[in-house]
Amino acid sequence: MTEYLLLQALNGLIIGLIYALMALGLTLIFSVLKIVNFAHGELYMLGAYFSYYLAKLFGFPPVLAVLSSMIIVFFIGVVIEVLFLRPVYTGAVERKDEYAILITFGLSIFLQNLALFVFGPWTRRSPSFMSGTTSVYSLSISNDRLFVSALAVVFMIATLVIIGRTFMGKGLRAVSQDREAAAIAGINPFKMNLLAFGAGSALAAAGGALIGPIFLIFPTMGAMPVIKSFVIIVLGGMGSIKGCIIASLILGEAESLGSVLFPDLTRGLAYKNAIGLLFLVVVLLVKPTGLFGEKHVRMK
Amino acid sequence: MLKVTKLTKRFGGLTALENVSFKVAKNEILGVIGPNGSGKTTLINVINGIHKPDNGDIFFRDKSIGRLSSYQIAKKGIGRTFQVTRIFRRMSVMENMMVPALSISRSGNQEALLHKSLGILTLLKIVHLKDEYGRSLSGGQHKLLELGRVLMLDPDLILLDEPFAGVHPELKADLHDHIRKLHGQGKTFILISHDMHSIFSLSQRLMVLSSGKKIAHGTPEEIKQNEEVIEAYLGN
Amino acid sequence: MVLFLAAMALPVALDGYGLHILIIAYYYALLASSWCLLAGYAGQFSFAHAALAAVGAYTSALLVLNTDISPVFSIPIGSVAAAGVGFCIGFLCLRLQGPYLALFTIAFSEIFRIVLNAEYRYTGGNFGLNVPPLFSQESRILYYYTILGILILSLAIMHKIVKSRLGLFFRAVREDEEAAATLGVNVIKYKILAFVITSFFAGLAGGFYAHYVRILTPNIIQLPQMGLIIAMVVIGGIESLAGAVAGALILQLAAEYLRDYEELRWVFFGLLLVITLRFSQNGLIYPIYKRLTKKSEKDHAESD
Repeated sequence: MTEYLLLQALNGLIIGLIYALMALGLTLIFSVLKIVNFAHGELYMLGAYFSYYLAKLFGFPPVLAVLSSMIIVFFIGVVIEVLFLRPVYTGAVERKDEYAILITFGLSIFLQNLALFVFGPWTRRSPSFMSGTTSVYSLSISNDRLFVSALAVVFMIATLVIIGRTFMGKGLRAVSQDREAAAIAGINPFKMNLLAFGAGSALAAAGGALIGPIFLIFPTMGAMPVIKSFVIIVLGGMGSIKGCIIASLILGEAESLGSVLFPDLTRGLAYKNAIGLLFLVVVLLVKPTGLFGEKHVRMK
Repeated sequence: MLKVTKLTKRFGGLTALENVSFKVAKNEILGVIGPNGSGKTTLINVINGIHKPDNGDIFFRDKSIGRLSSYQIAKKGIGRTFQVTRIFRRMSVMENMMVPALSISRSGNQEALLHKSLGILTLLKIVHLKDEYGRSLSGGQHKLLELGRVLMLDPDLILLDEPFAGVHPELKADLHDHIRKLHGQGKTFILISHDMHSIFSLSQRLMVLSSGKKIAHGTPEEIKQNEEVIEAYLGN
Repeated sequence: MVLFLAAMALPVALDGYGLHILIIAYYYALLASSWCLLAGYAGQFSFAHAALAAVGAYTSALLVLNTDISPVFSIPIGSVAAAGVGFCIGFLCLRLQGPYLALFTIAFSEIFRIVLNAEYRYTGGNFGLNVPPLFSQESRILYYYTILGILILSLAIMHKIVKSRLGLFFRAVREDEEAAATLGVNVIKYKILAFVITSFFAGLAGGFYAHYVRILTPNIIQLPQMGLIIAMVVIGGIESLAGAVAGALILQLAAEYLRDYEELRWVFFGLLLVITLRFSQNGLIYPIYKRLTKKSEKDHAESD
């Protein structure tokens, strides 16, 4: 039993890292643009498909396929921002909050069906990063999972370094705190929007591309993870990067261990996905600012 | 008519109002002045129920209203305008007017209410806009519509938050007239303004706030000579 | 009026399958118009509408299965149950706005779907719940007139609400809660009321649906279902009940007509939704309708 619990805890950690990557993208977008991207799951899905096709059709090595796929989705994000989200900041739309919800939700429907049409409903699996399994004592875990976790950590650290240490990151942080003040200080908030949405999309794509060899790829694969990322950003406090990472790990563990500890196994598996949602509901009701969020953000 | 006793309001660590007490007599215009951030708008927000006081109480016609919700206070006869106007943008001018009209009279005769709001709009010289959407009006027209909306509540006490800010001089003169006329009809006002000329000419009494505390009160003449007031303004 | 007569007469001209398409279209029209009242008029962008229809559907179905009560009674009871759940959502969400409300209602819907799936011993789970029919005769025409009647009655009530004091307050709350409160509007009451009323209609639609299709699965709550409702309302015109109904009927019939294009039609509808949002926030159908009626008024005036 202890071994099983340990294995589950380890699995929870790996899943938590993938969630974190995706939710980090959502957090980046929220903190700069102040919108929740309901199409995030579809960017994750596109990331998985692009990476799959780059590896399968063009023979890209897996890691290069992941990186290229992130770059492609970065530009898709940029296009989405320019075409559909820009009006929120130029005053062209009346009710910004609602517009942003509906437009990203609409995009998610569009992209999902487009994927269904272009890629077909079949499930696929990306080529493995590294075959075999590694055993530590009696725990054995596939190398793919280890590799994916390592890459996820690398991407996360890279994001944090970019945000925390570079000039670009400074601009992002400035805009996220106060658009107008940042604009006065000579930072172009539109450029930061682009950057944040592009980078956020790329992080979602990274999540999808990394999960490719572990789970299956299909057009609606983003539906569940996106809800997990919602849980994470709410739990961590909307817009808080620290909160986002901690919340991802909490969620990953809570799900993996929660399903084991549930007395009735079949129901335990079924209710696994409800644990996070319950977090979301309770946090919104009791402390809408989450664990680390500073204040309720609402567009003016 | 209105009695405020030892009112205190805090936001986190910031004390926006501290131990503020004052009275407003019936048919009086009380001007409230003070530097930015002195707690003037908070005072109005607490009186009309948007914020609940942390301490102290407010009595309107000798009844405590400190714990009531905004809508209950509105129904008791206290109306207010906002510093930055808050018109219902996707509703017509007439619909804007009908919201307060119908909120205070459940069974009210629709015809009579329509008639009444047309009367008020005519008075404010914006009746020709009655079918326009709120969003298509100019800033000055928003100010007028907001005043008209408040009048539909039949309030005895009207709280005006910076009614002259960003207003055309011509319109400002009109607003002065409207306030004087309403005052003549027996309405009571609390008026917040940075426009010293307006507030000194309209108010019968003035109260000065600084950092959430009341530092002076008296007639406009008395206030003009009060050194503490001059200090508060120039010191900042 | 013309439309009404056409709707009354249609069954004569249609076969069973055609009727089925229309019945489902009317079901969506009821969902779309009630969501339009909630989101377009009262400004509460809830994603729980499909879940509330499911509350009505499962409540009614389980009542009939477990107590032998007639669907004629269980459907209204299901609607009241949905209204009750709507009350709870409205009450809990009083402080939540914009994306927070959206996230809360999505989470609620997902939890409800998961519970329906997990408690398969009672709900049939993903295998489906076999629901007794509303009528003992196998007559589509009966169902057709029933849902048409329900739809018309519901629309009449909703139209009345929109034109009344209640509708005015809904819109005031949507525009600016604080300003509405300072003008004497009890914001809490009207926000909750908006959820209660619209949830009732969602539950009613769901109840009818359950006893018409006779098999229920938790999939009726899935997010794409909600997406369909939203697309209908947005394309029809989010600030108009008639627009929402037109959006529902047109989208549903178009989906049927374009059946051969399979996934491509959903790509097209998705694109249409996004483009409508971006370029015409009052929807596509409502402005066209407005323009046409204005034009015909002008024509009348000129010919007089």
